[in-house]
Amino acid sequence: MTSSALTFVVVGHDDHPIYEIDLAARGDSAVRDDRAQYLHQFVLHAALDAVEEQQWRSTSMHLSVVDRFNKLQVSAFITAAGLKLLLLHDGKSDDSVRQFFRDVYEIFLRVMLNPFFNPTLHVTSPQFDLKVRTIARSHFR
Amino acid sequence: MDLRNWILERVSPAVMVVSSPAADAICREKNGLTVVDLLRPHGSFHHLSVPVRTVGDTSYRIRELQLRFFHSQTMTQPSREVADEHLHQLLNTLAKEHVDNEPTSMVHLLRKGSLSYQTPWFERYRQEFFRMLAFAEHECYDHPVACLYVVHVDAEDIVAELQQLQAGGNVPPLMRQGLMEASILQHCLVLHDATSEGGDARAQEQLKTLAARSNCSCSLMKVHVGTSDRKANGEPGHAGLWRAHFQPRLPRASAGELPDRPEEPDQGLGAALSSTDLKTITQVLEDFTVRYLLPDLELRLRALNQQVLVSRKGLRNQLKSLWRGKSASSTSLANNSNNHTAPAPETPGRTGPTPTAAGGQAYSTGSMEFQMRMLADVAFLMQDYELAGTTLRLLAADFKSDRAWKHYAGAQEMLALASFMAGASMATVTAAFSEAFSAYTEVARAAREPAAMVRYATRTALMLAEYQRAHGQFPEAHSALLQGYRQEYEMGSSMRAALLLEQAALFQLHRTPALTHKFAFYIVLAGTEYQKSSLLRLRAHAYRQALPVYQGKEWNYIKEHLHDALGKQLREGGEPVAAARHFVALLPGAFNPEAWQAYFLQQLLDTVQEAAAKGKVPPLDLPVPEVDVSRVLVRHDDHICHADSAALSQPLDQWRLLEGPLGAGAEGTTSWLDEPSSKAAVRPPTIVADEPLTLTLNMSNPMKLPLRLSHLRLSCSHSLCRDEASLSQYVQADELEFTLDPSDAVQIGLSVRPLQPGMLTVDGLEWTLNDHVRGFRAFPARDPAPSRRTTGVRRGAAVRDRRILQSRTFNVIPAMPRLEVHMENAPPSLLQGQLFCCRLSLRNTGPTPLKSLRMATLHPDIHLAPLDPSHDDDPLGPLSQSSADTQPGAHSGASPPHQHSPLGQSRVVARSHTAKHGVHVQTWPSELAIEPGQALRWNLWLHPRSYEPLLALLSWCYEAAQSPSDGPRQRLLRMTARYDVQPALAVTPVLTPSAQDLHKHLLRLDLDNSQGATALDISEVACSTPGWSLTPIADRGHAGAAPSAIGGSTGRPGVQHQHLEMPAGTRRAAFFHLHPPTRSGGNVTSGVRWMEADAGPLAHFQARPSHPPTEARGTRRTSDTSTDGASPSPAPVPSPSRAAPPGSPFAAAQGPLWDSPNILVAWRSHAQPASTSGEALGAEVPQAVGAVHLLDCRLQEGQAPIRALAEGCGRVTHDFAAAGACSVPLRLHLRNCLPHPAGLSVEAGHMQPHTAPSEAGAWRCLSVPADGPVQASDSQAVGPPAALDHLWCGCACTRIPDLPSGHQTSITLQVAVFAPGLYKIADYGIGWTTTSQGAQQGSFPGPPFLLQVDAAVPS
Repeated sequence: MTSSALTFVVVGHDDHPIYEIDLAARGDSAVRDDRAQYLHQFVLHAALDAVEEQQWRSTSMHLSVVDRFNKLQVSAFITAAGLKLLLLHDGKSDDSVRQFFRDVYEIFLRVMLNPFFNPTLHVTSPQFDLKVRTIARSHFR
Repeated sequence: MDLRNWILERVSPAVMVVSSPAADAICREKNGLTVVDLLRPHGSFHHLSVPVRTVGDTSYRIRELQLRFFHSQTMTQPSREVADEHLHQLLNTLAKEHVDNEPTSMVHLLRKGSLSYQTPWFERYRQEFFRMLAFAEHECYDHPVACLYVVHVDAEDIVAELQQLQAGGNVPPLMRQGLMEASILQHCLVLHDATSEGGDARAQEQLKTLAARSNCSCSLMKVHVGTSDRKANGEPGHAGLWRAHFQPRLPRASAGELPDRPEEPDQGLGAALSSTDLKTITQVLEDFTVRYLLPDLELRLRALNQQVLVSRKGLRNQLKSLWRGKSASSTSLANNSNNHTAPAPETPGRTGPTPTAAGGQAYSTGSMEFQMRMLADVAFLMQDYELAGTTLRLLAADFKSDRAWKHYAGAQEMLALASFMAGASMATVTAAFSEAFSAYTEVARAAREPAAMVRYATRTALMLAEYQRAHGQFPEAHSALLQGYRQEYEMGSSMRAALLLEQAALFQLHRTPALTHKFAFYIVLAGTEYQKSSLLRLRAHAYRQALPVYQGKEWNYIKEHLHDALGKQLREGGEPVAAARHFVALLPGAFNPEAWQAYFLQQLLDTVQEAAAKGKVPPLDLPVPEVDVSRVLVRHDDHICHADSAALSQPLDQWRLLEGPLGAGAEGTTSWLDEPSSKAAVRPPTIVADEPLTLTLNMSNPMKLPLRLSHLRLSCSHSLCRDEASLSQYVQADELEFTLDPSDAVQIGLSVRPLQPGMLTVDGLEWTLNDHVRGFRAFPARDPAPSRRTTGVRRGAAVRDRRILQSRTFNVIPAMPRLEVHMENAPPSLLQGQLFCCRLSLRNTGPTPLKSLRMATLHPDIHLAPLDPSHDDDPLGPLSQSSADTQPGAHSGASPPHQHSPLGQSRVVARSHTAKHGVHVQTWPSELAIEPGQALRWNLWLHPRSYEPLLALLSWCYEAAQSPSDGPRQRLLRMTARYDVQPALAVTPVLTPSAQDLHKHLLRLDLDNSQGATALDISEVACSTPGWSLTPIADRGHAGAAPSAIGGSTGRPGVQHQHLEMPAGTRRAAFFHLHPPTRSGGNVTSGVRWMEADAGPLAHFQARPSHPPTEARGTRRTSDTSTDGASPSPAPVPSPSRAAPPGSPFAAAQGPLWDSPNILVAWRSHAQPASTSGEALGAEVPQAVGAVHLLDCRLQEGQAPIRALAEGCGRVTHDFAAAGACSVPLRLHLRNCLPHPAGLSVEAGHMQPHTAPSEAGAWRCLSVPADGPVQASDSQAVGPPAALDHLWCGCACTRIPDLPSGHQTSITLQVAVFAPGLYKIADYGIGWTTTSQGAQQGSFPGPPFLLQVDAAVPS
C-alpha cells in the first residue's frame, strides 16, 4: 500500500460518518497530514450527492466511481440498510475496489448484527480496524 | 438580469466624444460633470420607430436603441495588470460593503424556498470585468460608429475650433494603429449656455456658420435653462441620475473612463441643469440618432455588405478562395493610415493577419476579415441578427483557415450572441460559446501572455453560464464555470477562480434536488482561492456559507479546518469575541491527540484574554465539560417536602394513601385556598422563599487534558430584579470549584436559594474554565409539567418524571414553617425481631412557628410512642433495667432534657387511631406549637419482624401557626426510614394434641438461629392470649421426658428457658404444654412477665401483624375500626395465612375452643452485629432485645377432629389356670373437637393398628422404654399381635348418636386375652359423622393401649 490517498469511510444516516480509517501507508502515524485529511474529508463528503444520485440508477450495491476531484476518485457501495461505504483512492481498478467493498461489507454485517449497534454511533472496534486494514492490504497491495 | 437586455445594453453603438475645452469647462464648473457624463444618461431610446433596410428588400423598425458615449482617449483597453489591480480593489470595496459577519445562510434560504443570489459583488465584478475587456482589436462592436464634436457657442471662430478638434489627434490608440475604423460619422454639437451672453440669436448664427463651413452635420444643444429642481436636503433633484452612470476610474484613461473626475460643485452634481435641460439633451441626442447615426449605419452596412458580397460570397469567390489559397488571394490591404477622416475607398480583397505589438495577430481595417467583422458587428448594432450571424459564420471559417484563433474565438463568441438574439436553438448558442471558449483556451496556451488571453475565455464562460442559468440549465452552467475556474486556476488568477467557484457552488443549490454537499465543497474551495488573493472577508463569507452543511455532522477535520480558519481571521481582524466562538467549536476535539487539544484550548484562552482586555466578554457556549442538560434532576419543596431522595422516588400512590387521612391537599402544588383554574395546566412549579432549589446533573471531561472549573453555579434571574447588580438581593446561588481530570465524569448538585417571592428562572449553568473563559450552558426550555387532571398520563410515568427538570421557571411563594425530622440514634442495621427505640427530633427550621402536627404511616413494624419521652413509661419493664446502661436510646429516662423543648412540664399525649386502609395516624394536640429553631423529641419504635429491609414511609402534616396571606396553609413532610435487617431468631411452632389429656396441647418450638450472627438468650416464652396458659414440660414433673434439642444439645426445662442460650448458627427445640381456657376461668401464666405484651409497643406490634411490603401499597384492606385512646387494647387479628381453608371441618371454628393463642418468644443479645458501614470491627455495640410473635397457633389441619383417650388397668394378673380368658375393661374417653355436633361410632376388632407416627408432632415414634416397669419378656408379643391373641368382648360396635361440640363422653370396651404377655390393643377404630353444615364423616384408629397380663402364680 504505497498509495498516497486511500481513505475508507462508512457514512450512516443523516450523513454522519460512523467509521473512518486512513488506509494509506504513512511513515509516522502520529504526524497529522492536515491538508490531506481535510481534503479527503471534503471530497468524501461532497461525493455523497453523487452517491445519492446514482444509487437510484443502479440495482447493484457497488456503484463504482461516483465522483472525482482532480486525481482523487470516490467509489461507493450502498448497503441494504442504506449505509454508504465510500473509498477515496487515486485510481484503483474497479475490480479490486469491488472486492474490497464485498469483503468489508461482510465483516461490517457482523457489526450491524450486534443488537446494540446503532447507525448513528461510531464503530470503534479495534478488531474491525485490523480486519479492514488486512482486507485493504490484500486488495491494494 | 435579463440576458437579452444585458446584451442590448452591452453591445450597442459606441460614440466617440471630442469636446472643446470651453464646452468641457462649462459642464465642469457649473455641474461637476464632463460632456460625456452629461450625455450618458440620455443615450437610451425606448420609443423610437426608425425604419431601416439593411441588405434585404424588406425594412424593419428599430424601436429601442442604446448609445454609449466615451471620451476619445478613453477608448482603449487597460493592461491586464492594471485591470486586475482595479478589479481586486473593487472586490475589496464590495466585500466591505456587502459581506456581513453573520450572513444569511444560503442553505437555510434554500430550505425555506427563498433562495436568491446573495453575491452582489459578483454582479458588479462581472460588469467591471467585461468593461476591462472592451475595445479589443479582434472585435468591432466597441469601436466607435460616430464621432461627436462638442464646441461652445461662445467660441469666436467656431469653425476653426471644430477643425482644431478634428485635427487634434484625440483618437483611440487602435484607430491610430489602423486597427479601428476611422471613417465614421462626424457630428458637431454646439453647446449653448443659456446664462451666457449673446442669447439664442447668436447661437443660431453660430450654428448656421458652422453648418455652412464645416464638413459635418451640426446641431444645437441649449443648457442651463431655468432653475434646477432641488430635493428637501438641498441636493439637486437629478444628482442620482448622473451618479448612477459613473464608472470606477483607472489610473490612466482607459476602459471608457478618464483617470480623474471634475470636482463636485458646492451645489451638487448637475446643479445648473433643470428638467428642461434634460429634455433638451434627450431630444438633441434622439435627433442625432434618428437623423444622422442610423442612416449612416444603414449606408455603411450596405456598403460593407456589398464588398463582402463581391469578394467572399457566391460560388465563384469560394472556388477562387479554394484555388488560390489565402496567401495568394490578394495583396495586403492593411491600411496603417492614422487619418481618421473619411478614408478613401479601398479595393476589397483577402489579406492575412499582421502581427501586433502584443505578439498576436491583427487584421487591419482594410482587410476583408476586418470588413466582414465590421459588417457583422454593425448588423448586430442595427439589430439585424440574421445578417450578423451569416457573416460571422463565414468569417469564422476564414479565421479558422487562417488559424487566427483569437479572432476565431471572438467571431464564435459574437456568433453565439447573435444566434441567441436571433432565437436560435440552445444547442447552436451553446456550441458557439463552447467553441469560443475552446479557441480562447487554445490561444492562451500558445500566447506569450496567456493570463491575458484566459480572461476572454473566462468572459465566454461567464456568458455561457449566464445563458444556461437563464434557461434553468444549472448543471451545465456549473460545468461552464468550472471550466473557466480551471483556466484561471492554472494561470494563477485566484481572484477570478474564487468568484467562478463561488458561483458554481451556488448553481449546485439551484439544482433539483439541491446538491448541498457539492455546494459546501465548492464554496470552501472558493474560500481557499479568496484567501490566496487576500480577499479574506470573502473567504470568511464562503466558509460561513459552508458551515451549516457540516453543522451537527461528525466530519471533524472539516469542521476543524473551517472554524480554525474563521477564528484566526476574526482574531487578526480585531474581533476576538467572534473569533472565540469559532475556537470554542474546536473543542473538545476528542479525535485529536493531546497536543492538538492543548493547542486549541490555549488558542481559545489567548483569544478570550485578548477580548477581555478590550471589554467584557459574554459567556460562551462551551462544549467542555460535557453537561447532560437533557436529564437534570431537580429537588425542591413546595407545600410538600421530601426529607430525602428515597422519599422522592416512592410512588405517589403510596403517599396519597398515607396523606388521605391527614386531610392534606397532596394534589398538584396548590392548596384548598387556590381556586380551580383551567389554566392550571401550564402553571410553573412552586418553591418556597428562603429554601434551596437543588439541581443535580452529570458532567464529564471528554478531553485528554484536565479542566479547572471555578465559579460553577446556576445562572438565575428573578422577576423582581431589574439589573444584574442587585440580583444577589433576590437570589443566592452556591458555587463550586474543582478540577475535572481527563475522561472523568462527576455528578454535581447545585443549589440556588430565592430570597424574595416572585418568579425565579433558572436559565442554565455557568462556569469559568481555566480561570479565564466563562462558559454557559442553557437548560432546554420545556413546557411545565401538565396537570394530572388534564392529561391521561399514567400515574407511574408522572412519578418517574417529577424528578427531572421540566420547567425553568418557578413560582416563589413566601416563607413557611419547615419541619425537619432527624433520627438521633438511627441504627445501622437491625436484627430480625429486634425491638428498637429510636429518638426522633422534630425541628422547625422555618421562620414561622408550626402547629397541628400529625403523622401517618402504614408500615406495621414501626410505632410512634403515644407519650412524649419525658413522660413515657418504661416499655421494656424489668429488661430495661439491665439494658439501660448499654442501650440509652431504648430507655426513656435516658432522654436528655432539651433546653428549648416546646413541651414544657405538661404531659403531651399524641392520640392515635387507625384510619381507612389501615393507615395509622398519630395526632398531636393542636395547641402544641413548635417555634422556629425549636425541636420536639419523640420515640419511634422499630420492630422488623421479617428478614427483609425495613422501608417505612412516614408522612408528617403541619400548619403554619399564623395564617399566610397567600400560599398554602398546610405543609407535608414525606420521609422514609430504611434499615437493613439481619437474620436472627426464627421460631416455628408445632402444635399437637396431648396424648394424656383431651384438652391441652403439646407445643414444640423449633428455635433457629442458624442464619444469625449474634448469640441470643431466649428470655421468655409467653402466651399473650387471655385465658390461655403455657407451661414447660418439665414444670409438670416430666423430667424423664425432657425434650431433646434438635441441634443435639439439651435444653434446660422449666423457667430456665428464660435464659436458653442460642449461639449463632444453632438450632434448638423447646416443649410446652398449652392449656386452653378452662371453664372455671383459671389462668396460669408461667415465668416472669418482663414485657408488657398487652400494653406498650409490643401490644401495638402484636395487634398489627407484619405483612409483606407489597401489601403496603394500598391494596390491602383491613377493618375500618378505629379505637381512640393512648393505649389501644390488643385485638388479635387472625393471620390470613393461618386461616383454615373453607370447606374443611375447621372452617367455621368459633368460640374459645378454636381460638388460636398468640405466643411471644422474647430474646436479647449481648452484642449487636457491627455495622457494615462505619463501625470498626470489634467495636462495642449496645445490647439488643427482640421478640418473635407466634400469632394464631393452631393444630394442623385434619389433626384429631375427635380426640380419644384410652384408659384402663395397664397391668393385670390373671390366673389362666383358673380361667382361660382374662377380660380387661378398657375405658375410652371421646371428645368432640369439631365445631358441630357429631355422631360417633367405635368399632372394635376391624381396624388395623395405627402405624403412622411419622407425622410432625410433639412426640416421636414411641419405642418400648428400656427402663420401664415391664420387661419385654416376649419380643414376639410386641408389635402386631396375632389375630387370636385377644378378643373383643361385648358389643363390638358402640354408637354415640349426637355428641355436642366441645363435650366429651366415655364408653367401656372389653378385651379378653388368653395368655400372659404384653399386648398392644390398637385394632379398633373411631368413626365420626356430622349432620349439620353438610354431611361429613371420617374415621381414625383408636389410641393404642398397652396391656400387660401376668400369669398369677399359684399360691
